[in-house]
Amino acid sequence: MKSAQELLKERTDRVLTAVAMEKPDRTPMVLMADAFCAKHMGVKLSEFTSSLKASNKVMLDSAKALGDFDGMNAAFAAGPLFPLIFLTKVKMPGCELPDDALWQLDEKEVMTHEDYDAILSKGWGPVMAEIVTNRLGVDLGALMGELSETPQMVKNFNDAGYMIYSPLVSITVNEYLSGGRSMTKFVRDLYKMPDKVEAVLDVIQESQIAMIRQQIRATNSKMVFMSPARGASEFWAPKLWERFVWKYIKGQADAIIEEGAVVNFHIDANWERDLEYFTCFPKAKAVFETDGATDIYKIKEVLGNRMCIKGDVGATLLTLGNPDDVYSYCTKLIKDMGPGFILSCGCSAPPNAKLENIKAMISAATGK
Amino acid sequence: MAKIDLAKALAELDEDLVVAGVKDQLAAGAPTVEILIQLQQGMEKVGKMFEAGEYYLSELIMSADVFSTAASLLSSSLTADCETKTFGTMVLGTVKDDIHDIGKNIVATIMNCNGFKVIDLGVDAPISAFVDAVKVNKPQVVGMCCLLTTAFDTMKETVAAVRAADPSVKVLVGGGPVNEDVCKYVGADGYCKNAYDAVAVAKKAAGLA
Repeated sequence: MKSAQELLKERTDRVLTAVAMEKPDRTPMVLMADAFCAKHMGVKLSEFTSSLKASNKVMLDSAKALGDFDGMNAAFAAGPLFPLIFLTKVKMPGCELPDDALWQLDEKEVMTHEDYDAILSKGWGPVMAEIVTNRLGVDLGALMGELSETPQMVKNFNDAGYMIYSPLVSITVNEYLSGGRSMTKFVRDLYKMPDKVEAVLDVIQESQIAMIRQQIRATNSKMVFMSPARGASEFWAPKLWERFVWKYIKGQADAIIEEGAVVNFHIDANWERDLEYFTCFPKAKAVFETDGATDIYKIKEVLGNRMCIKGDVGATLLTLGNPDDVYSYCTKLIKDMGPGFILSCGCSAPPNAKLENIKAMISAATGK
Repeated sequence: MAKIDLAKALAELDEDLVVAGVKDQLAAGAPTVEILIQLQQGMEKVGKMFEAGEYYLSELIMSADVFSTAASLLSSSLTADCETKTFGTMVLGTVKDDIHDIGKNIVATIMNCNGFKVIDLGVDAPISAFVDAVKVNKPQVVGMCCLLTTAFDTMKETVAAVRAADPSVKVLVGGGPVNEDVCKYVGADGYCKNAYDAVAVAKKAAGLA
């Protein structure tokens, strides 16, 4: 029987081989899941989200119970961190929501036009800290304290033989304003004051790139997760997308790659119109992680010789489908995508995904 | 000075021109209902451009904003949400236990601007709210949204309750994880991928298409 360290090496090599667009011994499977793990382990979501450490323990227990797969996207639950990503209040289980309800973004206008001026005059850091602390009610010091334990939470998984796929996260800057202003008001801003919005985004981008460079150097991380969720091609006219979305995705991705890491584009919604843009990155320096809304076969056609593809077993299939449906879907993907593919759920596995469906994914990947 | 083509200006999202055109026509004594019809024609053009792939969600949001600004200039005999000339009624809400509202709000706005009265039940709407609204308002269409897969079962129960209250009403579903499979699972009449799908079905249900 292999030791945990032997398993960790084997699994990490398998994933990195796929990322490098080479042929691994078998198709790797990395699970993106948090709330699912709580349901799997019979832990209430309020307890699960009581601390990052608590979610880390439950996710690790869930991984061990699931068995032979390669790793998890992250080492702890994402929900408590959403205010830092979207500048939006998050209603949490056991607080604003019932004990076992999934956390949900409660998007309202928390940023005003005056905040644009403040960012231009004071910089991004102090304005963001004020918004998160005073308007969203987040105890930033406590949250940062919890995040400082990320290395230990990653190690907990590693010690059990599982890799953590992308311990570092970089935020695409339009997410901040789209969430903070609220989407409809942000769209109006793009039409009514495009130059000012671009100037603000440029300030945030500079700060964001400096931070992610520093984090990559400090942690020697080889993979950075980037989620331009509000940037989907299907939402934006091409001229707006190029100016307010793509420019910032590319800027951050270039910096991440320059630092020697691989960028994992977490791509929700449909980006088919703009797949060609992603061909600009060096081969095997990026991963296209898709939730299934972009046709994965189209992704393969356009990007298949440039970057690894990760996905895309959808939330609805995992919830309403049966294990045969899931197994068939996964084995077809594995056959059709070839090397340079990581089997994963499309976005995060929902809390009510059927356990047998997640196991069917593992069976498809392991051949067992 | 030539009369400003309001429908064209709205379809081109030129808010300043739309506002100027509405003010000109009001000053010239044009009936407010006629001005409103021109604005609605502009929204129809936006819808066609959206369906043709020339416009995206960003343009839908902006066009609705321009429409609302223009409608607010019309006299108090017309409300800003066009209720004086409605083709039909839609009851709309995000189902219980789900608080997401961006998609629902866009559907409400686009339906409104296309001549439908929308009874918006908001988010986290209990089954009884849908049933009561159907009984009171006699809509042609009921729209239900969700972003969470955990809301599928609630949506299914809500559809059944609405059908029991009024078997003739068309029930539409939409939202991030909703697809044809979910539509079938919850027993709805149709799945709307976007706001203009809802407009098309509602017009048909109201005998307009």
